[in-house]
Amino acid sequence: MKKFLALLLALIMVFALCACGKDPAPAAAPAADAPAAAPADAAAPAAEQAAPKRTDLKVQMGSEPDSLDPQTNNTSANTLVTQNLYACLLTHDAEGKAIGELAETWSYSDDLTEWNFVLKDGAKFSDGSDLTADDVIFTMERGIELAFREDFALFASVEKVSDKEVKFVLNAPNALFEHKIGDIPILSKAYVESGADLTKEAAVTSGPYYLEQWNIESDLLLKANPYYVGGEPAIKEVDVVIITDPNTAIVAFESGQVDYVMGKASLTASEIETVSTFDNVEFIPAPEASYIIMSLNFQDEYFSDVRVRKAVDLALNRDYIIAVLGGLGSPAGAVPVFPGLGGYVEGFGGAPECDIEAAKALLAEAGYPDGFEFELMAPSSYAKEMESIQAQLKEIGLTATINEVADSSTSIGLFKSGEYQAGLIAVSIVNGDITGLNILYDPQGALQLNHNDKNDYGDAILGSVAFIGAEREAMLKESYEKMEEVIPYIGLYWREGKKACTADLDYGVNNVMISFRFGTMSWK
Amino acid sequence: MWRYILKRLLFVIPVMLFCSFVVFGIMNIKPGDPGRTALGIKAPQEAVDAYNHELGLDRPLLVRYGDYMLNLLKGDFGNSYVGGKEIWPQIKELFPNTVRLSILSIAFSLVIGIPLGVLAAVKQYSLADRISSIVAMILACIPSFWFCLLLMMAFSVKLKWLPAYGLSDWKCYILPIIALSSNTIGTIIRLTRSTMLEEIRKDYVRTARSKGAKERTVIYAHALGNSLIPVVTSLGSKFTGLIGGSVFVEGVFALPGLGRMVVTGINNNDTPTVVGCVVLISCCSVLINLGVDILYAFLDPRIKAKYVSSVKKRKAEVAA
Repeated sequence: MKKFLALLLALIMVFALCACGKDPAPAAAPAADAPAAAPADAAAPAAEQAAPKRTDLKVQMGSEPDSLDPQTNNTSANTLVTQNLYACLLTHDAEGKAIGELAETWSYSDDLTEWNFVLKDGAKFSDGSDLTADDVIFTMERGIELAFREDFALFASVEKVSDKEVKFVLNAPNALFEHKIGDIPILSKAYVESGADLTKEAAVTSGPYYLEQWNIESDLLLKANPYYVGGEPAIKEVDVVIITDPNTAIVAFESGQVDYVMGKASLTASEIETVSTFDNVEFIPAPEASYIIMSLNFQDEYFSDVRVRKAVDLALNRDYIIAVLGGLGSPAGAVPVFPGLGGYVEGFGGAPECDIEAAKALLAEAGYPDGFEFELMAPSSYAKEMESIQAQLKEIGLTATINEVADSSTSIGLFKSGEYQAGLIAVSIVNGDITGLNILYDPQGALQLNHNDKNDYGDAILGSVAFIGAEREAMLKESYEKMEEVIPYIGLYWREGKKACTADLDYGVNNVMISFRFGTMSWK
Repeated sequence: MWRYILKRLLFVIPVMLFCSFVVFGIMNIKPGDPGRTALGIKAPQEAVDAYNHELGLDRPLLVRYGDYMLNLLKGDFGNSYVGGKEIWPQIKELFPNTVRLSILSIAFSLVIGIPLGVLAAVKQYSLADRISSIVAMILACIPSFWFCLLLMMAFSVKLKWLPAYGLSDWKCYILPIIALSSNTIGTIIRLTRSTMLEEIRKDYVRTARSKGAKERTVIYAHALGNSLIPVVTSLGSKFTGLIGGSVFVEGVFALPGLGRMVVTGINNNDTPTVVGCVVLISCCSVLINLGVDILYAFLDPRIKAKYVSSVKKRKAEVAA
């Protein structure tokens, strides 16, 4: 018996030794087969750096793209890859300002209905073929035919002025067209017409990389485009490794098998805590143009009353919700703007101060001094937010019953049909402007988040694109004031994420508009 | 024997129909809109409806199921709802990885499990027996998900001996195989030990010993074969489980396999992908069980004798 116990203890100790204890070994070290940054030896040229820099990069992604066709699917996994494969006429700099990528210059008519773009000399695809106006026109016509993205509905026609110049004639004046056009990747007419399946092939691309190989459920190998108009990238080869399990991703990062890690989509608070214990790590802020709101059904007996909506708005402490999420986020109010976003007007965008007494008074005035019960609906990914909201609203007498639905498409279905009382949803901004938030307008009614809120402030915000400068600001200010008065939904917080990379990597341009661009990354 | 095999092969059809119908039904009951999932949250509703119509998703369930099965019989697994990619090429690329891992896991389990089980039986109540039993118990109880992470922490992070993900070279197979085979090794050790203990007490073993056969010959040439029949039965179900159930291990080690494909399909409401994979797994299940039954015949001649053809039977009666 004693021998038996001794043996058992020995086995347990062996397991414990393997699994436990801090190892001071450096984490996120370069891969074993990559050239190390060794000290200079006698053979190295004196004028050059002592050791060759790495030219490869291993990046972890949390989900695999399902299509690489930039005109038929824009899930985040797809976009993360296609934005590195295809170039647009315009892009954005570090401050979010529009700059030319394939376009050398661009101009517009006084009434903002005609836009001219002149392509850069030497613009080529990855196979060396010239990128001309024909490719731009082909791209636009294909986009119109596929009718997937609403951006293609903006222009009435696109004409070839010369081999290097195209003219867009818009359906209506639009000061933000340079942002919209900057989101349309340019395809090779010859490549597409040769029968290439863009959902899985991208051998001829306009961007800094082309797709060399795609191993399903494994990885995508991107190679640098030597003809890229912005110059061949410093990173010549990118291996985008698909690791869906966040724990495995962290382990791979710690052991140096990947250089850049994002967990599932960005690192959670606990993952950040774990990664921060590793050596040689740099965190990459991942500002997300994603705004979490609580939509209230205007047809509901309770939430149709603006006093009730205001009461809910005042009762919620956004900092508390963000703290529950590990501090990844910044408070938001009814007006979805922040400094740097197109359409920002000073004095708007913040969340109201939490005031329980004022909230209770408003509820009493509305006829609900004892509160009421309602259902709060959202996918399970919002469980923490829902629990936090449930706890806070209890203080003013509101009892929220949580209804977790399967996924976002289910919740959207409920929003559309009006079969909900309150629900949480994330809404994204596209094109760096408030008009890119589709909760403000939806001609097709796909996202009637507050169900039947027929409002004019949304129309006014949309209409502001026909104006520039002070005139636009005045229009927007009026709309924002109306929104703060009406409370069309409860703005909760802006998502902020973090990714991580080895400190030896310069992760390049990184803001709300431009991030995860391998072409701007390099080894230090 | 051939008639028996043919009968069992025909059994694939009802199994495949049943499994595919159940999964098809469940995928259709599951909330979520494939068109919305495929086109994204911002797509106009008309585009989503057109997409769903193009895929035939607005037709009755039985009509869709019938169409799907008719195409399947022609070898067409259809296209994924998401991205429109053909499903068969994806299965062709991923399935061999899953099969390879399963076969290697089974082989590893046998190489470790059988000798330990035999040792435990032959040296009953000795230290070797106790160690084998403890090891078997621990391995049978360890949750595979937890074990994967433990192995990863030990060998990828702390020791940096082995990679944590992928299948890019032979080293990548080691940790997943150990993780996959842990439960199976535990089962084989215990099963081999108990069946071997029964066999070595039988008269024919005593006879062999009394005739002066070497102990090694008695154990491995005489007793082991008979004691492996329950082990083979167990392996059959384990192998089937590995083919269809290595989801955790494939997910943790980021292995490109069928399990991951199924999970991705479920998350994307991609019915053709999920049903296609399930049909394949159910076919494999039937074939594996058939293989196990055939293996019985070689292990135990009494079983083979049951399937002597009627012609041979009649000849034997006439001769008698």
